[in-house]
Amino acid sequence: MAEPQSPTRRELFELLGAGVVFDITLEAAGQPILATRLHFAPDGKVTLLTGKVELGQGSRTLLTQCVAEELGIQVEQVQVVMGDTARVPDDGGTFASLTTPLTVPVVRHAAAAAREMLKTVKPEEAMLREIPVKAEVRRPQEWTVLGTSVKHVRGRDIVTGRLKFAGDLKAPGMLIGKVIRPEAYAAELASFDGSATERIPNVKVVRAGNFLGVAAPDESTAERAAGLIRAEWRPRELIQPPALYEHFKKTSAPPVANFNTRYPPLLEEGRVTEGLKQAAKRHEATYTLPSIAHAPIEPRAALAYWDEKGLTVFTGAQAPFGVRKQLAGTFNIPESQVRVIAVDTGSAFGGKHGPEVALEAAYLAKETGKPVRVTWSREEEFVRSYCRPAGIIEVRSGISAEGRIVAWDFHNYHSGPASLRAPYAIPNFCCAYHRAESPMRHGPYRSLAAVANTFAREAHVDELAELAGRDSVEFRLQNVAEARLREAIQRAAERFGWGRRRTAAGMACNIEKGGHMALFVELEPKGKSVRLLRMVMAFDCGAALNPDYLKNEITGALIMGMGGALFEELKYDRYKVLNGSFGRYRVPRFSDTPEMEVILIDRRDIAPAGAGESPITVVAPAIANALFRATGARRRSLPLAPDA
Amino acid sequence: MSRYQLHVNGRIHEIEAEPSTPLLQVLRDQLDLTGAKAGCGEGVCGACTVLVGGRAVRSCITPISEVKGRPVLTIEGLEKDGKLHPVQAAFLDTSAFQCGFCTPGMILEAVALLGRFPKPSEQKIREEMEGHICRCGTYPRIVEAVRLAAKGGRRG
Repeated sequence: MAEPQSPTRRELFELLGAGVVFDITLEAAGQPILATRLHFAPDGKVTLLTGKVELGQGSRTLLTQCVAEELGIQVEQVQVVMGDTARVPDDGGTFASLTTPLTVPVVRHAAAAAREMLKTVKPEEAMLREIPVKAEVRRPQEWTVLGTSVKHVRGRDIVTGRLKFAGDLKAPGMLIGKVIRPEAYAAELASFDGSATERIPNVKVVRAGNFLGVAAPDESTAERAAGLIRAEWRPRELIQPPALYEHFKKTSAPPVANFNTRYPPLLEEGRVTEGLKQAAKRHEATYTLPSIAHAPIEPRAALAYWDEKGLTVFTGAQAPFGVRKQLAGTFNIPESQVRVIAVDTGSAFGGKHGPEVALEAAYLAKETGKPVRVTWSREEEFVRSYCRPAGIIEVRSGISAEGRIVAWDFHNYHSGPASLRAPYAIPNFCCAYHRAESPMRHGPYRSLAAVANTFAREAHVDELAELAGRDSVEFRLQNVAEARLREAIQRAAERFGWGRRRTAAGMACNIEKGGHMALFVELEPKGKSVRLLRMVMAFDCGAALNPDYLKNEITGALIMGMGGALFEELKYDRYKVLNGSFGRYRVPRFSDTPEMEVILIDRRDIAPAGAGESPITVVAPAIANALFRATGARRRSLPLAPDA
Repeated sequence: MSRYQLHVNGRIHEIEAEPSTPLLQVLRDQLDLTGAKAGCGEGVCGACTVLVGGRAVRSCITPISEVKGRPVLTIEGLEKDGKLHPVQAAFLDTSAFQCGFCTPGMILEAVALLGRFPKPSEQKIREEMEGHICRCGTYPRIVEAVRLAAKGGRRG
C-alpha cells in the first residue's frame, strides 16, 4: 500500500497562513497515524483537518462542536477543512455512520491534547514536538457546546446560495465534458464514428476503453457534439424480478463464518433444526425487495485538471482517499501526484463512493490539457450509478406455546449481511447472508442491507405475533431482552397511544449500528395507494451530541424510507432502465409526509453511535405491518404500493 | 445566436444565447449565479426555481427568449444590504435543510407563495411546495419555516 502523503509543514502554512500546527498520533480508520490535525492562527482561529466529508448529514457542524468544546472556544472560531487529500489525514470514507463513533473521539482527544499542551508550552515550542495524547476530554456534565443544538455551520451560505457544490465550480479555460452512453444499462463499446463531432471547432473526442466522451467550450456545444457521435454498443441482457430473485438463489454460495469483519455473514447459536422441530407453532415466509436508486438531489459532478504536480479533482465524493487511489491506479501514477478535494455534496446516501465522474473528468482533462467539468444529468444519475441491491430473504421460525421465539432460520440472498442479528433472545438461530451474482450495478445504500434484513425480520415477527395470538408490542417485549430497546418500544408505544389504536397501525423495532429504535405508524389505504397519517419514533443512540440535527436526520431517514417502502423501484426491460427520471421514478414529496414525532432518548453516559442511517431500517416493516392490520392481506414484497 | 437584455437581481446584463437556451444555463454559466441548481432538467424537482416577474418558474425549462425583459430574481438577490429576507431567516431559524442543494429553489418558491397567500394554511403550503423535492427529507421543517416566515418570524 502506498504511503499516504502528508503535506509538508511549509505547504500547510502556505495554505493556512502563519500559526501553530499540531501533529498528533491517534487511531484513525483503525490505523495509528501521525497526522496534522489542528492549526492555530495568530488571530485565534483554529482549523481542524479531517478526511471526513459533509453530505448534509452534519459532520462539519458536529466536528466543529468537538473542537470548540475541548478548546473552550466559540464555534465561530473554528474552521474545518474536510476531504482534501493534500491537506488532511485519512479518516476513512464517510460512510457506515462512523464519523460519530470513530472520528468524534479522535478529534476531541486531539483538541484536548492541544489544550493541555498550550497551558505549559509556548506555541513556537509546541510546533517542534509531537504531542503525546494523554489529555482527558471534557465529561458530558461539563459540556457547553456538545449536547447542544448548534446550527449548521454553513447555514447562511446555504440560504443565500453561496455554498458551492462541485457542479458550481469553474476554472480558467475550463471545458465542459459529456459522456456518450449506450441506450442499454450495460454495454461494451464496439466502435464509434466521431468525425462529424470533430469538425466542430474546439471540440475534442476522447475514447479510453469503454469510456467515450467529448469536451467543448460550453454546455450547448458539448451537448451538440455528443449528439453527433455515432457509437455501436454490444449490450448485455438484464434479468428482471421475479426471475432476478431466482437468479440470486441459483448463483449463491453458502456463507462461511467470519467474525473479522464489520458485518459477519453467518451467525449461529443453538440448534436451529432441533428448535424448529420442537416448536409449538412454525411459520415460514419469503420476502423480496427490488433495486432502488439513491437519487441524491445533486447529480454528481467533478472538475479535473492536470498540471506539473499531477492530477487535481474537485468532486462531491464520500471517500476522497478511495477516489484518489482509484485515479492513481487508472492513470498509473503515484497517489502523491493525485489530489482529490471532496467539496460538500448535495446528499449521497451511500451512492457517491465511486470514482466514476472523477475519472470521466480526468480522462477528458488529460487529453485536452485543460480543466474539464463533468456533471451528470438526472438520467445518468439514475441509470449510470450503482443502486441499492435487490434481494430475497427466506425465513423459517418457530414459537413455543408461551409465545417465545425458539427457532429462527434466516437466509438473505444478495442484499448483504448488515443487521442480520435479530434483537430478540432466541435460543436457536441461524442468520446467513448468501453472496450472489447480479446483472445490476449494486453498491452501498443508506444503512446497507439493514433495510432488507429488518424488513423481513420485523414483518416476520409480526406474523409470529399473529400466530401466537399476541399483540405486536406485547409479543416483542416478551422476546426482547435488551433494556434500551425495551424502553424505546415502550416510550414510542405510549406516545403513539398504541393500546387505544385502531386497526390501521403497525410498528417495528431494531438495534442497528448502536441505535436502539422503535417506530409506530398509522396509515390509511386508499385504493391502490397508501396514505401515511402519523409516525412516532423513539430513538436512542447514546449521547445526543446535537439533538436538533439528530432529529432532523432521523426525520429525514424516515421520509426517505417511505419511498423504498411504498413505491420506489428501478424498472427495466431486457436491456434498459425504463424510469430514469424524477418524472417516472417517484420519490417522497411534501404530500407524502405524515405528522411526525421523534422522541430522543438522550443517554449522556453512553458514547454515541452514528445515527444518519439506521432510522431508515424500521420504516418498511412498520408500514407493512400497519397495512396488514388495515387490509388483512400480508404483502411481503417491496414496494408495498407500487401504483401509488 | 441572439442578443438579450436580462434584468437580474436589479442589474441589467447583455447576453448572447440561442433563443432556446434555458434561463438556468445563462444564469449559471454566463452570469455565475450558481444558486439555482440543475436537479432534473425537466421541471419536476424545483431545484432551479427562480422568480420571473415575481412568479416562481422552473428555469431549467424556461427558454431565455421567454423571459422578455421581465425582472429575474435569484437567491443571490434576496439578501438586502447583508440582511436576510424573512424566508431565508426562517429557513435558518428552523434548520429547514441538510445538504442545502434544494434550498435556494425552496426559498424562492416560498417567497412567491407568500406573495400570493400571505397567511397560508399548512395544507396550502404543502400543495404549493409539492413540485419541490428534498431528498434529505426535511419537508416538515420547510413547512414550519414557511409558516414562521408568514408570521413575520415570530414563533407561537
